[in-house]
Amino acid sequence: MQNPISGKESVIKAVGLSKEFRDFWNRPKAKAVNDIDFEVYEGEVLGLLGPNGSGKSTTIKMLLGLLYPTAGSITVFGESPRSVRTKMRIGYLPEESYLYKYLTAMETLDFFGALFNLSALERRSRSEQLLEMVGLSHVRNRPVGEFSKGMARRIGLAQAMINDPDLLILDEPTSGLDPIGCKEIKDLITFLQKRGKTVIVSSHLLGDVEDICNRVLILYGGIIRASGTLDELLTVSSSSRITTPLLEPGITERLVKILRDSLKGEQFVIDHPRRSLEDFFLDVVNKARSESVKTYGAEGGGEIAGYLKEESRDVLKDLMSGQKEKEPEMPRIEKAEGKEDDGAAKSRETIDKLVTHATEEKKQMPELKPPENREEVNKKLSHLVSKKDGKDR
Amino acid sequence: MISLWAIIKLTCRASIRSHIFHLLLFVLLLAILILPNTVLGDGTASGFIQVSLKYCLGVVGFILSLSTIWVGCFVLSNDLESYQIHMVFTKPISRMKVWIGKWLGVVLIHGILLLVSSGIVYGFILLQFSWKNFTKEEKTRIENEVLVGRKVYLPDLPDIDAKVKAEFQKRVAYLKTVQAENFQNLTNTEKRTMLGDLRKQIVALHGEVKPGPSGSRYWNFKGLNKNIKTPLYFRYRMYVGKISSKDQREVDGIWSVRFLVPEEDVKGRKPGEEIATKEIFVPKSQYPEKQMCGVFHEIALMPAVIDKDGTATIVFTNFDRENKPVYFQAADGPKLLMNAGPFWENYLRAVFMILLKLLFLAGLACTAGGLLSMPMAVFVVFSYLLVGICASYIINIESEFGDVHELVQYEAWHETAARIVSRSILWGIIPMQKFEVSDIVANGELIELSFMGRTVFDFFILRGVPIFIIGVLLYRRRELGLIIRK
Repeated sequence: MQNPISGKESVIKAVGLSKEFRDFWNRPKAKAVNDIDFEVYEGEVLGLLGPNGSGKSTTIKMLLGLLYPTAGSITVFGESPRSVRTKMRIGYLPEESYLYKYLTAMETLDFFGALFNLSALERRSRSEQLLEMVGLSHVRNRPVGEFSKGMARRIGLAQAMINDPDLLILDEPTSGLDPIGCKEIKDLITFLQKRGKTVIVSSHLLGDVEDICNRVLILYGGIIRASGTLDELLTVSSSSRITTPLLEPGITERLVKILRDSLKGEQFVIDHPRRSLEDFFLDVVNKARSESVKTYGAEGGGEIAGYLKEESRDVLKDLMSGQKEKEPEMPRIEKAEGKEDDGAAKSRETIDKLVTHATEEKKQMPELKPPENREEVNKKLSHLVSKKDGKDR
Repeated sequence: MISLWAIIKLTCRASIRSHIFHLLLFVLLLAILILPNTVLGDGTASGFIQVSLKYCLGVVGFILSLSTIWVGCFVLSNDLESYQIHMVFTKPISRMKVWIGKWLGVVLIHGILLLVSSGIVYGFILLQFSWKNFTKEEKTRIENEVLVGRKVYLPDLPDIDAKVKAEFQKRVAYLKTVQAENFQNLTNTEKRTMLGDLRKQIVALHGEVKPGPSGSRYWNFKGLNKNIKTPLYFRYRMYVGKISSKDQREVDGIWSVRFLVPEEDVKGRKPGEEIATKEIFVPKSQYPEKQMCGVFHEIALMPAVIDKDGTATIVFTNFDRENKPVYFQAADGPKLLMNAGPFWENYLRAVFMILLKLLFLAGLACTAGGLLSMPMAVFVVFSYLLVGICASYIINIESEFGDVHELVQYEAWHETAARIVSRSILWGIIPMQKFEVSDIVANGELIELSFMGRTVFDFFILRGVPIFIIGVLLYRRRELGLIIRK
C-alpha cells in the first residue's frame, strides 16, 4: 500500500487495532488501545505521543509481537509482527535497557548480532563501529550492569542498530541521556531518515519529538486524538513572524511605525532571539572536549558506524552543514494574535506568499540529491550488507 | 545455527551467575572430594568399593538433578520476568529456537559437570582399588563382583496370577456349594480383600523355604550362555522369621547345584550319539553352612553348571536350628550374574543414564520455567517428581495385586473412577527411580542396552518429548508483554 501523497510504501498498517487486558478470570480489566487505525510510511519519523497509560507502549508491544491484538489487525512490512522475517528488518530500543547485566558492552552487541546470524567477523566489525558511534568504545570490556543509565541507553541504541534496520522503534530514546547524547540520537534519527529508514519514536519529551518527527500520533485513553504532520498541527496561521539580520535602530523604528499604523492598536513584539540552552550547553562541552578534559562516563559519540553510512558520501556531515546554514542568528519580530483588517490581510497575503515560497524551496531541498540516486546508494548498501550476511550464513 | 549457539552460550553464562548454582556446585565439589574419603563400607574390601561407588555416583546424580531443575526454571522464567527476553524476541529468532537453546544450554553445562565429576569418582574408585592394602583374594573378589559388568539372569517365576485365579475360583466354588448363604452375604469389598490376601499368601509361599530336606527350594535359570569360560555368580539375600532388616541372624543351610551326568558308562559310544543323562545335585559343602540373613551374598559357580539347553538349577535346603522358615524376596532375585563386559563400559552406561535423567529434568524445568514464575515453576517440577515417586509406589502395589481385571469386577464406581484417574496420571508421570543406576553399577550388574533403549523410548520419547512439545507450544503462544516485570 502506498501513501497517496508521497507515493511511499506503507511500513506499518493498523486497522481497528484494539487491546483489552483481562484478569485471571478473563474479565475485562482495561482497554489500553481502542479501535485505532494508522499507517506509517517508508522514510517517515513518526512521534507517538500521549500521557502515561494512553496506550503508546501497548501499541509498540503489539508492533513487536510481544502483545497480541484483541481485535483488528496490525502488519509490519506486510507481515505479522511475530514473523521472524519481519524482525530481520526491525531495530528496537525499549524504554529501559533490558540487557544481560553480566555481558560486557562488546559481548552484548556480539550476542544480539548473533541473533541475526551475522558471522563472527561481521559482528566484531559492526560492534566496534557501533561502540565508537555511541561513545562507549573505551568501556567495551565493562559489564553493562555497571553502566549508568545514559550509558545503558547508548548500548541499547547500539544493539538496536546492529542489523542496520529498516524500521527503528525507539521508546523514550533520550530518557536518561545528557544533552550531548540527546543531540547525537536526534542527529542519528535525522540521518536515518535521510537514508530512507522509518523511525517510530515514543517520548514524553515533546521538544525532542518536535525536533525530529515529521508526523505525530497523539494517543489518549487508547484512542488517537490527533494525528498529522507537525506543520499541519503546529502552524498558527492567524499569526506571522519575520526573522531578519540585526536591524539598525532607524530601520527598526520605521518598521515599528509601519506596524503600529497597520495593526491599529493590536499588540506586537520585537526582540532578539535566544539560543536554546541545548545549543549553549553543547558549545561549552565541545570547548571542554577540545581542551582534553578527561571523563569516565560516556564520551561524545564518534562518527556514524561505517556500515550505516552511504558509500558515496557522509550524509550526516551534509546534514550538519545544512543545519548550520539553516540556523542564522537573526532578530525576530513576533506579532500577537488579533483581528485582521484589510491592510493586515494584504500584509498577511504577502507574508503567506513568502512563506509558501520558502516552504516550496524547503521541500525542494532534498531534491538537490535526486531520490533515485539516494535509493540507488541505499540499495547498494543493503546489497553489500546482505551479501556479507549471505556469505556468513 | 549461529543464533542457536548464541542462546546456548548465554544460557551457560546465566547458569554460572546463579547463586543457587554456586551453592550446588560447592556441594558437588564437597561430595566428590570429601565423600569418598569418609565412606567406611561394610567392613569388607568389596563392600568399601561398592559403597563408595554407589554413594558417590548417587550423590553426583542427585545434586546435578537439583541443579538442573533450578537452572532450567531460572534461565527461562528470569528472562521473562526481567524483560530481557523482550530484547531477544524482537530479533529474528523463533521462540522454539530460544527454548531449545536454553534447554541445550542447561544440558551442556550440567553434562560437562557430570563428565568431570563422574570422571573424578571413577578415578577415585580405581585409585582406592590400587592404593588400599587389599589382599589378593579381596582384589580378585572386587574385580569379579564390583569392577565388572555382569549380565543378570532371573529365575523362572511361576504364574502367580493364574495361581491366584485358580485358588480364588476354588474357594468361591466351595463357598457356593457348602456355604451358599455366606457367599451371598459377601460384599464386593470383601471379595476384593479376599483376592488381595490370596495373592499375598501365594507370593509369600513362593518365596518361603521351610526347614528340612523336604522344603528344599529350586530355582531354574534358563537361556544362559553355554559357551562362557568365566565363573558365574549366584547373588541372593534371605530373611529368617520375617522379611525385615531387623532381628536377622545366622541360619544353617546347604546350597546345591544340578549337574547332568550320563546314566551309563560312555566308553565305546560313537561321537554324536545321544546319551541318556540323569541329574545329580552337588552340594557346596557337605555340612550345613552358617549364613547371615538380611544381607547379600554371592556364590561363585563353575560354568559347567549350565547344561546343554542353557539352563542352570540351584537348590537351597534350610537346616535352621530353630526350625524357622527363611524367605526370599522376588525383588532380590536370587540372580545369576555372568561376566559380560568391562567396568569402564558399564560405568559409561551409568553416566549416560544420569545424563538421560538430566536431559529430561532440564526439559521439564524449561517447560515449567517458560510458563510460570520462578517459584511456581520449581514447585510444579518438584510436585511432578514427588507424584512420580508416589506413582512408583502405586505401581508396586498394583503389581503386588496382580492382574487388575480380576479385581475390577468387584469394585464400586468411585473405585473405578479413582483407578482410571490414577492410571492416567501414572501414564503421564515419569518415576525418576527408573533412571537410578548407581546401585546396579555398584553391584557389578550390567546396565543392558535393551534396558537403556527401553528407558529412552518409554520415558524420554514417549512421555518426555510430548511434555517438551507442549512446553514449546505454550511458550510460543505466550503473550510476553503481559508479564509484570520484577
